[in-house]
Amino acid sequence: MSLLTVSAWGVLRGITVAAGALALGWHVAREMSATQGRARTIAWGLLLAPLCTPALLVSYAYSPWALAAPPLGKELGYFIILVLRLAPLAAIAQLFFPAPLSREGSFCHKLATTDRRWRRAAFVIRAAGPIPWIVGGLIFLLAFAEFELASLWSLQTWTVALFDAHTGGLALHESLRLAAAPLACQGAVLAAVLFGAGTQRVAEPLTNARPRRRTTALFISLGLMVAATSAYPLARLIVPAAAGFSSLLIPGVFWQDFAVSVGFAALAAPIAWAVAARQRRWILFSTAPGLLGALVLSLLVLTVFQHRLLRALYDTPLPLLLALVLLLLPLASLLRYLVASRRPSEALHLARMLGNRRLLWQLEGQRQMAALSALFGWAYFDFTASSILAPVGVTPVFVRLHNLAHYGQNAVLSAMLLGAFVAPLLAVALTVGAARLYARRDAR
Amino acid sequence: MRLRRVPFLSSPLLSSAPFAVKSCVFNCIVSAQDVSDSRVSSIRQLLIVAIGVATALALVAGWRAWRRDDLVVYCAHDAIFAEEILRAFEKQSGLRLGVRYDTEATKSLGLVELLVREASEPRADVFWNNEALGTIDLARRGLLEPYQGAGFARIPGKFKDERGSWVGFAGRLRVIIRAARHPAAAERALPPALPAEISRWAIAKPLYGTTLTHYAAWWRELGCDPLIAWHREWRARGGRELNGNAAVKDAVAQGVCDFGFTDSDDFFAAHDDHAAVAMEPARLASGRTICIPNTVAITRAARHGAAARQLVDFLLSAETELALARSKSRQIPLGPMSENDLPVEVRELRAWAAESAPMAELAEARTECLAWLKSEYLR
Repeated sequence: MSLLTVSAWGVLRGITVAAGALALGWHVAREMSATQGRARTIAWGLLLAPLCTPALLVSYAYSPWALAAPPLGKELGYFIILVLRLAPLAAIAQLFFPAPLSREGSFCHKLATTDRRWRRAAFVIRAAGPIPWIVGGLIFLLAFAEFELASLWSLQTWTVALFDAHTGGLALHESLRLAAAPLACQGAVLAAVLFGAGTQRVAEPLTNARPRRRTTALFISLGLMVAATSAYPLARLIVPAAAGFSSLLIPGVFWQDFAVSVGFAALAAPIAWAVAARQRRWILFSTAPGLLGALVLSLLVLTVFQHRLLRALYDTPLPLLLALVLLLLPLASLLRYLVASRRPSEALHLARMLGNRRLLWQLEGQRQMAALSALFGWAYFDFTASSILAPVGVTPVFVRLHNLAHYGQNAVLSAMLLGAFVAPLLAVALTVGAARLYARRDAR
Repeated sequence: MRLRRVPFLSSPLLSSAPFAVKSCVFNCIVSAQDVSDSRVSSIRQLLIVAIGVATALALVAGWRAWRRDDLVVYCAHDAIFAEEILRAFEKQSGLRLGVRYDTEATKSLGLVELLVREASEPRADVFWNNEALGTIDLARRGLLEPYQGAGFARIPGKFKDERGSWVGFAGRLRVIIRAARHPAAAERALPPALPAEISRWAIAKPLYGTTLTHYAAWWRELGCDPLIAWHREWRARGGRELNGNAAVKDAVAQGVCDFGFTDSDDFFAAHDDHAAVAMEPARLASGRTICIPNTVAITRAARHGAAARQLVDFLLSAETELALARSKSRQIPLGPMSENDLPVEVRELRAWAAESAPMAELAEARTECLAWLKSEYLR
C-alpha cells in the first residue's frame, strides 16, 4: 500500500477510535459522577490503570495473537485496544470539564420540546460544547500517531512507514516530504485542538449530582477496560516471569538500563512540571511539539542536534532529555490546570500561615506528587524517543526490552518486563511514603 | 504585589497634604513597588534560567569528559549475544566501550545509514555488523579504514575485503525453517517458482538485514525483472511478510505458517524452545547456499584507532569465533578451527557454509535491489 493509502486508513482509524473512546469515556464518566466514597476511589484507580500500562507490555502480551491473526482481525484488535487505552482520557475530560448543559437541563429540554429524536440528539451535541470535540481531537492525534503497538504487531501505519524511511537512509526532509500528507492532517487537527482549547471557557464541575448506589454498569465497563489493557498483559507476564525471576537477582545490564531510565525520567518530570508553571501565555505553542507524537518529535530533535552548530551536544543526554521534556509538556500543562482548578485556596493560605506540613501535604502536596508521578511514569515508559536519541553507551530499559520482545516470548524476558514495570511503581510508592512521613512528623 | 513600609508615607509633610495629593503619591509608590516587584521577579526568573542553562552545560561538559576515552562501537549484532563478547573484551583489555545497538525492527540498516549521516564527523570507532553487504557499501563510500591485523590472515578470502576494509567472522546461514511434520526437500528452489500454498509461507520485510542480503543474492542470480515479478506475486497471493526473522520463526513455531525464510540462529532459538521445527539451507538456483558473516570494520578517522584495532583483532580471534559457536546462536566459525571443539549442529552448518556465494559479489546487486525496494515500500 502506498503511504497515502495507509495514511487515509489511519485517518479513518483515528476517527473511529476517537468516536469509540468518547462514547465509552462519556458512559464511564456519567456513571462515575454518581459514585462516591470507596467505590469512587476504586473506580479512579481502575480508570487510570490503562493509562499507566506501557504500550510495550500490551503489545508483547498480544504478540502471539497478532502473529496468527488475519489482517482484518489484527486491525479490529488494534482498534479495540486503542479505544480501551484512550477511553480513560475522554472520561477524565468529561469529569473535569463537564458540558455546560446539565442532565437536568437536558431532561427539561426533552420535556419542553416535541422535536424528533434526531433533532434532540443534535441539540444535545451542540449543548455539550466544544470539549468533546477538543478531547476527540486529542484522542485522534494519539491514535493517529501511535507507533509502538503498530511496530510490534507488524501493522501498516504511516508512523511505521516513516520510521522505515528514515532508517532506510532518507534524509529527514525527504522522509517528512514523503509523510507530508499525514503530517499535514496531524497539524490541522492539532491547530484546531489548540485553537479550541484556547477559546474554551470551562464550566464548573458538577457538585449537586445525586449519588446513586448502583455501580454495576460502571465496574463492568471499567473491568473490561482494565482486563484487556492491563490485567491480561500483566497476567501473561507473571506466570512465565516466575520461572525467569532468578536471573534478575544477578546484577547486570538490566539494572544498569533500569537506572538510566529512572535517571532520565526523574530529570524530565520536574523540568516539565516547572516549565508548565511558567509558560501560561505560550502554553498553546509550547505544548504543540509534544502533540506531534514521539516519532516525529524525536526525528526533528535528532536532525537539529546533528547540525554543525549543535554537534558538540549530539552525543550527550541532552537531546533525549529535551525530547522527553517536550513530550511531557502537554500532560504537564493539563495536570497543572487540573491541580490548580481543584486547589482549596483559602484552606491552603491558612495552612501556609500555620506552617503545618501535614495540612500542606494533604491540601497540595499529594496532588502535586500524584502529578509528578504521572509525568515520571510517562517519561520512564517511553520507547520511541529513547531508541532514537539515547547517547552511545546508554540503553534505556524499554529500548532493550522492545528489542528482545521481537525475539518472541520467553521466561527471562517476561521477568525483565515485569521487573521493569513494577520497579518504578515501587520507587514512586517509596518516595510518596517518605514524603508523607516527613509531612506527618511536624503534625500539630 | 507586596506593600513594604515606606517611611516617607508617615512624614508630617505628607500627613498634612490634601487627600488627592496623598492618594496620588500613594499610587506612585505602589506603582513603583509593582515595577520593582516585577523587576525582581523577572531577575529571579532570569537567574533560575541562567542557573539551569549553566547546570545543563556543566553536565554536558562533564558527560563528554567522562566518556571521552570510550571506544565507541556501533553493533548491529543481537545484543544478547554481543554483550557477552564485548564485556569479555573490556575485561581483557581494560578499555571501556560505549556501545550503540540497533532496534530489532530495522537491524543493521539503521546503523549503516547513521554512519553515512555522521560521515563528516564520525562518532563510532568500530562497526560490528551482523551482515556483510551494508559494511561493503560503507567501504565503497570510503568510510572505512583498512586494517590487516592478527585476525585478518586467519579468515578465508571470500569472507573479507582484500585491503582489510572489512573482515567477516562467525557466520549464519539463510535457512528454510519448516514445521517438523513436513518432509525435507532435496530441492526447494524459490524463486522464481512460487509454492502452491503460499499463504503458509513467511518471510521478513526485505528492506533490512539478512533478508535484504537474500534478496540481493536472488537479484544477482535471477535478474531484476523475475525477482520483482516474484515478489509482487508473493504479496498478491497472500505470502506473509513479517517484521523480522524472529517473527518468521515464531510464525512457524506456533503453527501459523509451515515454512519460512529465516537465519540459522533464529531456527536454533525455536529448537531450544522445543518447538516442532526443522531446517534446511536456503539454496539459490545455482545450488549455492548463503552464509552471511558478521563483519567488523574500523571507521575512517576513528578517534581511538589503537583501541579500535585491538577490538578488531579480538573479534576476529579463534576464541571469539569459538565462543559464538558455542553460544545459543551457534554461529559458524569461518577461520580454521578443530571440528572437535565445535557443537555437533555447527559442524553440519560449517559444511553448508563452505558452499556459499562470496559476499563481495553481491554488493552491486544489493545497491540496485535496495533502490527498488525503497521505491516499492517507501512511496
